[in-house]
Amino acid sequence: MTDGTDLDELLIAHAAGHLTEAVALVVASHLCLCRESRRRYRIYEILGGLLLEELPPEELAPERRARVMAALGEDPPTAGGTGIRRCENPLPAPLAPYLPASLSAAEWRRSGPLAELPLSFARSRRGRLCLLRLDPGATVPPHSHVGIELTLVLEGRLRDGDRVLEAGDLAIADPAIEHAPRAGEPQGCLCLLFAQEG
Amino acid sequence: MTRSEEEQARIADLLAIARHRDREAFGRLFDHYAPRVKAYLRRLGADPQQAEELTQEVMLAVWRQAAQYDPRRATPGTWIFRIARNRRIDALRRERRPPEAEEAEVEAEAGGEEAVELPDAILEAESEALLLEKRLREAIARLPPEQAEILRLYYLEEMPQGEIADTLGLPLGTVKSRLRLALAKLRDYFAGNGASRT
Repeated sequence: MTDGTDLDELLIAHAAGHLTEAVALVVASHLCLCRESRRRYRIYEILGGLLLEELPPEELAPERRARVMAALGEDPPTAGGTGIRRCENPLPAPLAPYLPASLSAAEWRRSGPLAELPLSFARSRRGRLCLLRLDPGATVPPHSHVGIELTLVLEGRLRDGDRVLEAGDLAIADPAIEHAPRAGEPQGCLCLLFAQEG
Repeated sequence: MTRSEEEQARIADLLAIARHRDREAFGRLFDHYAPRVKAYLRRLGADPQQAEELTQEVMLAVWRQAAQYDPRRATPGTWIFRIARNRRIDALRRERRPPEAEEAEVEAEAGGEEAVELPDAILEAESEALLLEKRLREAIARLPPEQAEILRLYYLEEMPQGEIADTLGLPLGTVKSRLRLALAKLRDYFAGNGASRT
């Protein structure tokens, strides 16, 4: 379960650039949906700038400066914006490059009231990254995990033990925990899931 | 110059690059930041050659993307830290960092706030990002030195907690609890002070 500290550790690790791609994707998506986390994340990024300013400088070879100055173009600076392709669906923008053109036409793996759409990412660490759709009232069979499991609710509601997760909420489950999350009714639930394997 | 005047001068330099491709301003930023970016990359394991090449790329990105810099949202140090962090993930980890929506875009999409043209008066007034940075510097100064040290090692050097424990000759549990305490103190310091929104 998320306690503030675990979430903060993820936020600071993301700000510092420590997270692997799949975990970074879940956190970046969560940030799009949660203002409070954005506020804290911003502070952690400012911390990065502050620590950078405080580092003892290491001089570069003198020709480096000349080389960079010579490479400066005259082109007008790139206009603002991050150039992120907007999702056509209401999903967070960072997910866009990982999604198929059409979610409905994609090949979901259906298993009873659950449907899973695997997303591909750089596999420097083993893990499973997918969108998971649960029919209203559907329960994920009880399970525990080898590694950490992150569940970001994108639409609808998910009940996990005593906790009700709404869109934007991120659940961080420790390896030892066995749980059987259940989708809310009547709208079911769409989640982004990352499970570490080995 | 005081710290704050130096920061204002660097903001002015970045804006001068964005507005009229000011090479002298860029030269000043290069002299200040390039050796710090190199030091940061070296700490993360780049060899001197790699670190200098990546630093060149980072500084060229500063030139090209200067128009994206918004002094209300980031100090120059934070903005350049972000560029260095992202380049380093792409280059050294051979992984990609998922695109991140800028806070401004997310807020605009959520109907949170209107994008406004930046008044020149921002140079006289202390920007929100500078204010946050100042508060953060105060918060870190209040941390017991042993907690601040662990925060630095963890954040900037991407040192796993186990390695920090070995380096400092401390039990792992002590490192974990010091890091947690440091994060909790930073969080408490910023909790509900309203400084993140104006």
